[in-house]
Amino acid sequence: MPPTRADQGTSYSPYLIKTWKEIQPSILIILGDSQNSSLDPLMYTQTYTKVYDYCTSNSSTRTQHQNASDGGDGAVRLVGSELYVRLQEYLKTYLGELNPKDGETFLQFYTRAWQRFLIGSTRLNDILDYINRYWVAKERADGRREIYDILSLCMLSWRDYKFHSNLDRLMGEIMGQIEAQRLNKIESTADLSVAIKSFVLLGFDVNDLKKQNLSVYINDFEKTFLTETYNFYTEESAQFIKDHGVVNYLAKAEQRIEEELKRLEDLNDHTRRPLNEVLNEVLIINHAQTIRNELTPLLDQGRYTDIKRIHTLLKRVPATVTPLLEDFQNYIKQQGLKTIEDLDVQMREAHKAEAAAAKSGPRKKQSKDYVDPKLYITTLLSVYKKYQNVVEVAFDNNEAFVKALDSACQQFINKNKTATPTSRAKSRTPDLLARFSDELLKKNDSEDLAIDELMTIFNFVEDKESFEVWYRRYLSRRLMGSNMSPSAEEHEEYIIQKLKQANSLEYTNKITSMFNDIRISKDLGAVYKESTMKEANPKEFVSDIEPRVLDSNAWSSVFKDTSDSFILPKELIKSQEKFTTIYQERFTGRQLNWIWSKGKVEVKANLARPGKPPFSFQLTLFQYSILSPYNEVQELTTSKILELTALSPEIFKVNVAPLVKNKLLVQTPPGEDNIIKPNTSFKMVKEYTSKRPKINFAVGVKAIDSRNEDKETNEEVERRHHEILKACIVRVMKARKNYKHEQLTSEVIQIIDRFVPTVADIKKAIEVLIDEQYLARTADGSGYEYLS
Amino acid sequence: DYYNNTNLANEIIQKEKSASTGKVTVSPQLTSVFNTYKDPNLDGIGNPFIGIDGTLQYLEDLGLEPEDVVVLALAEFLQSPGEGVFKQDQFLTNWSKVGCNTIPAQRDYINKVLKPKLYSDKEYYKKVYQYTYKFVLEKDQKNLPLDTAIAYWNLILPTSLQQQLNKFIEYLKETEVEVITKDQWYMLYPFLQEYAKDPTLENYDIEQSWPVLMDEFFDWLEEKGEMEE
Repeated sequence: MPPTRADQGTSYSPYLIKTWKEIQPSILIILGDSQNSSLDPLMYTQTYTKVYDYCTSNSSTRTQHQNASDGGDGAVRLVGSELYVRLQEYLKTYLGELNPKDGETFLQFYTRAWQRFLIGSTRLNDILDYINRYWVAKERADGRREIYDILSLCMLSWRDYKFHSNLDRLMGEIMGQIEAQRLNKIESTADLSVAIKSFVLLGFDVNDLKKQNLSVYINDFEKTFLTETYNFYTEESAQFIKDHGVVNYLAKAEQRIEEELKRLEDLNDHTRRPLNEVLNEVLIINHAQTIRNELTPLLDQGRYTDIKRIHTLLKRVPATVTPLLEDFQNYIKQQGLKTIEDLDVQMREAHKAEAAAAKSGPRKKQSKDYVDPKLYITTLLSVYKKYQNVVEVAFDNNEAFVKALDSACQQFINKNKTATPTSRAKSRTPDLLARFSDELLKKNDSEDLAIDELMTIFNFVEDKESFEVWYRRYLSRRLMGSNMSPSAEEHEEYIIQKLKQANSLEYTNKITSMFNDIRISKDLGAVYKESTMKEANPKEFVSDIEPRVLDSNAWSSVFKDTSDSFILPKELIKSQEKFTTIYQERFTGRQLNWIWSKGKVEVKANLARPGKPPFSFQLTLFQYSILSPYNEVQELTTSKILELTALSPEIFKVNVAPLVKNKLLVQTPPGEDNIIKPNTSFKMVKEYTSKRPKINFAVGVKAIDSRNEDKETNEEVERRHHEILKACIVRVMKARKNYKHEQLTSEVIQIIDRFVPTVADIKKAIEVLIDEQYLARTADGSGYEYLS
Repeated sequence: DYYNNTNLANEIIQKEKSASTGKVTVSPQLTSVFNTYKDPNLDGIGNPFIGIDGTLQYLEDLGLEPEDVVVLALAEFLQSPGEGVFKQDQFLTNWSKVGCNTIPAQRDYINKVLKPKLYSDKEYYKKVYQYTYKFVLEKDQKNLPLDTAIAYWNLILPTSLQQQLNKFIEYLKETEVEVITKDQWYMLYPFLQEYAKDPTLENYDIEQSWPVLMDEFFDWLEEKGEMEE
């Protein structure tokens, strides 16, 4: 039974004792008695009135009494103090006697009692409203912070007499429940949530009672909860990885995080952040290294769903993704290098086998280069595509992973076994890509798709200058060949568009001008034809010519002809002069150089058996010049022909050989080695026999040295690099006047974007500029100054 | 004794004069020394000069072998435009500046001033070293042929750098380098100094401003090192 007498040591006024006696039964019922009786409205009203009466009773009585009980501190107070103190005492006693029922756990008791007490406290606060409004408010306004409104007083009493004294037991049972949940032994219970939320209501801000204060929640619950969570998952995750492996752990960790975040419903939201941090640390950061190590085997096995799990989990802690990115990038690079290394071996073997087959079998032309550009480029592409797919499937095309993929590809595409057999070699990838594009365009079955793929590799190529030079070399061959079909031209056009988009207008300037040259040349051919027909004696001219007037800047690969001395057969001279005149009329101030080695001639040969139509011979200009004198004579010696044509012996040899081989000329003495002997004679047959009316002698002419052409193209690339570097260095030095070597180098590297200059490239350009007195070394040799 | 030694007095007066006016008075003694050696012909722009025969005689009279390193210092001192040529104006002006009007005085100056300075004054040494390139280069040459360069390196570079120089020369010969540019010449001296301080070239950095030739030498050394392993 609740007490009815005052505690010893406190002596109350008779009026208080009387009032308390009258209201105590109601208070007990409000807080909850053992029978759980309910308060009838009459009792409620009476209690409220008694409190009111007490507080507003005769002021002299209370003053007198107040003075006595306050020991003369001189403060004048409203009546209420005694009732407040009496209630405080009563709450202590009341709570002290609340105990668990039989068979009830402490947590169950706590939850039950707390919920009841919370209701009781609220109603008590209502019924004692008068004290709150007058006495308590006045006391607090006077600065007495230890006086609380009745509800707070109830909460404080609960905290002091029911909560603190049982905290260990309470927390023990709460954490026990949580662990049981984690071990899947029980479901979440309402008790747990109620008990945890009680911690929140028990925190007070002494200065502002209405403000939520989480000190009790944080100190008495959250700290323990986080520590135990950390410990629980440290143990569990280690064990789980040990038993089931990292890959299965990924799903487990994900599931655990979800569960724990769901638990936040039972907790105060304040815990969200620290709980996340604990989970990230214990479930992710602490295992990040182990998880990362799984990436390589999973990539090897193509288990992209599991890789996605790694990413999903690690993504929660961005710092753990960075090393994963590095691993991923490195993996792709290594795979790329390895794939090309294998391909390199394979190509070398295929080349060897082909060479062996060529020796024994029918003679077939075989290139000296073992690299198959198509195979090489498509292999590069296949590696890229493979990992592009991984980025999509496993990493949701995350920007950082796309970047890692691109960096890795750039590395192995430019530098690998085939492209750079030695570490300092210039990459062959631009050349091989240009050759691949040439193959595509020549075949003319190139889909736009294939061109787009080509562009994919192009975008990774570091040395775009080199590609451009090589591309022009192959393009010049395509353009110099037979007429391009409209569809082939479309494809050419498409590639140029793409190159322009990927770089700049300027990048494709030369390429575009090459097409223009061809177009203009055709027009010139038409003008020439028209003009010869107006001549008094058109027979003196070659009626149809297909001129190619080419800008030496763009067509550099065409412009190497050592046959300057060549003597044009006299019957062609008028035509040449005519054309030159026409050209000079249109383009004054331009110099026209004749590249005789590129000339081709088609002639009608009256060598057929009588009654048959004449043959049509296709010849190189040089072959024609060899045959031309035979209009007048039957037989000529090597020395005579060389005298008439001024051809070099080597060129003569390769040109005359197909004529002999195809039995147009009869050589005495025979044999290839005898061709260039001065007295060897060549006699033309009187009647030529062939099943075909058209004979192409030009195809049999061997190229003198094709390897040389590669070298020249490489040199052209070098020259381009060198010129660009020099211009760039001068520009920088002009602005800086005096600059350290390292700074100059890094600025130059930053500016140049179409290729990656090597240290040696830059130094060579600097040394040339020093030599040319644009620059001088500073006295200590570590920098340069600009000499204007 | 200052006043009794007229030579010395003259010397000092002349020195002061040249310091204050930048002009010098040429003593007849000095002119006659020049005339002893001068070439019977005039040079391309019509001025008297000492030619190759005169030079050899002059060096002999000074007690110098033509391959003495101090000859390079002398050439620098007299601003010789090339081997076996001393121009009249430079000869007279520069000797007058230091007041050495006779062969013995000049011999003393060479042995007591130029020679010690060459070994003790680093900046001066560097000046002579750099000057040597221009001095050795023949008129129609743009760059120095390797053999000439090697001969003069052996002559002028200090013996303390001989070992490093030999290694470098071995590299040049093996890789068939044909000529040495002025910049390569200038930079070889500081390079060999670095190399002597850091015999494994551990701290060598191709990112620094060394000419490509030194970078390639460095690579060559590295490759050789690998082959020896």
